[in-house]
Amino acid sequence: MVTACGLSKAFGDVHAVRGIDLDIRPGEVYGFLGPNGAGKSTIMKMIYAMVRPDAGTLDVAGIDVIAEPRRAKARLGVVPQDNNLDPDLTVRQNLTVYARYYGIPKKIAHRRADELLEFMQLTEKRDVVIYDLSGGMQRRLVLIRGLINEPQVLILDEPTTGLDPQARQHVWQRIRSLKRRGLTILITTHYMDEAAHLCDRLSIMDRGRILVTGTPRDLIDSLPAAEVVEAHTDNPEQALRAGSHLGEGEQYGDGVYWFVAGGAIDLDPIVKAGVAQVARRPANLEDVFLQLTGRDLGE
Amino acid sequence: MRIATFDFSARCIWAVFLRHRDVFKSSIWSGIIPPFFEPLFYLFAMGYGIGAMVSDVQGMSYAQFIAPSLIAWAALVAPGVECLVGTLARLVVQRSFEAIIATPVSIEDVVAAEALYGAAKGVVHAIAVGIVIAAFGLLPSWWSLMIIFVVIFGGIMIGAFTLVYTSFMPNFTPIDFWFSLVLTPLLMFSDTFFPITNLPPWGQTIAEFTPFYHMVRPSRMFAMGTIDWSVIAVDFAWIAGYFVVFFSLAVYLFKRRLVK
Repeated sequence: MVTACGLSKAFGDVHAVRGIDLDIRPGEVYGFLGPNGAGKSTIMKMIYAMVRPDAGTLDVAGIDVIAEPRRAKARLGVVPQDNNLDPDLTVRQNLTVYARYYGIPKKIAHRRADELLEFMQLTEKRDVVIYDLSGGMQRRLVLIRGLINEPQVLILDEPTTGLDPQARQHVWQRIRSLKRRGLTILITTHYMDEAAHLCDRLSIMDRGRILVTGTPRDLIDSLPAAEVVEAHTDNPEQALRAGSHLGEGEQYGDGVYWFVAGGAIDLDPIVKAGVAQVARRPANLEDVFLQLTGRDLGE
Repeated sequence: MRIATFDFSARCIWAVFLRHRDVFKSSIWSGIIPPFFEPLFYLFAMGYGIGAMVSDVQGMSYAQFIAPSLIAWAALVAPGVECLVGTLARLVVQRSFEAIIATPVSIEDVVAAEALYGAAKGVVHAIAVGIVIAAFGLLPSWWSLMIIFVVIFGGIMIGAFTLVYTSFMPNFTPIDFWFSLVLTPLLMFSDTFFPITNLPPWGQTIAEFTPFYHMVRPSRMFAMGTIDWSVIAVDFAWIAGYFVVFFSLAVYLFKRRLVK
């Protein structure tokens, strides 16, 4: 549904994207997980023709985005990182005005707008002006604005950044519902739990490159063990020594990590060594990123 | 539709134009009333105040001389403000253009819609001002109705001209330069309030090259009904030429700014 080959982009001296290949299948929810500056948004913007690639090819639903941006954009739904709604217009007007850009007849636009408002539980806010709408509701509106043209591919650039946990859950639930309808969805995120919850497959990115691609399960299974003991301290060397009974630990910044198989584990020696923050948890995508880059996602 | 390297869609231009109209509707009175009064203040202050001390200008009363300028004014000031303040708000504050060009709308369409919308505001203002001026008996000829074409085409051209400046603006700070150093001199020295023959020869030459001069001159001819069609043709050719240059430049600059 979205294919790319050798996609590259530099902004001056900054190589935002360095030779990326993509093959995103119809009906798939595909994630790009990485820290800020990894190049995720640049890839999204290339797909909706806001950024012109320096090199490479890029097709959406069989249409060459670089040669025919108009046709390609007609099949895309775009939810950008910023809530760039029309602040003077009402919730419903934001949808119908947007529908006009796609040449959707008025009657159909109004019907779809009402359906989408219902879908996102915004119906009672339909006549509210954007200035009077909370951030979370604006986000939900931007999300359905991207659906007004019944796209084949939906692009979600950090759909839940800045949302409170409740709003986040609500957006996730809606995204899953869209997936069930067979929509192809591309998501960028720097939340590993978001990637794990929503994505069928994902690429972990750093500094303009894709480090690894796979299902969340496969990526986690590629780690040395299923569980992790994680400690944070001012004196990581000491913590490493104190936890030597857990095996070879790995130190990244102020964090120390031991991959451990299941079964009983004694954390007492580490606690006694004065490490206040230590916990045992299942391995996750953040560990995959850490292993690959030596940094955690938040950096 | 492709013209040279530009990719236009009349449908998309219209969709963006309607978006501006819908936003405008939500604040309609503040948008229409103040610009409508301004030229009328000039009519009274200059036409009748200063005019009382001035003998006839080119065989007409002073109020009569400036009346057509005040209609053409709308086609300078409305797009000159809209395509700067309005466009900049959409560009940097509301980021509307980023939302719009994620749809099938092209940047050419957006720039065209901005210029067209600025001109449309000019037309509305010009009609309002024109009615008042006509009521004062300052539009003696029925040819005056033709001024609307000067306002439409001149307004689009001034819109494109303004967008060239806007494309360089990082934020609202450099806005005063435009008003003080571009719009005001254009307004003052384009045969508007005195004949440019009163200027020194170098000043006259400059005035003849400015875009607004070629809007005031045909407006006055139409208002008086003393029409020299060869002069009108030359003025419209200037307007068309300026439009092509400014519009092409504006599209190029907006592309550079919006698409990285």
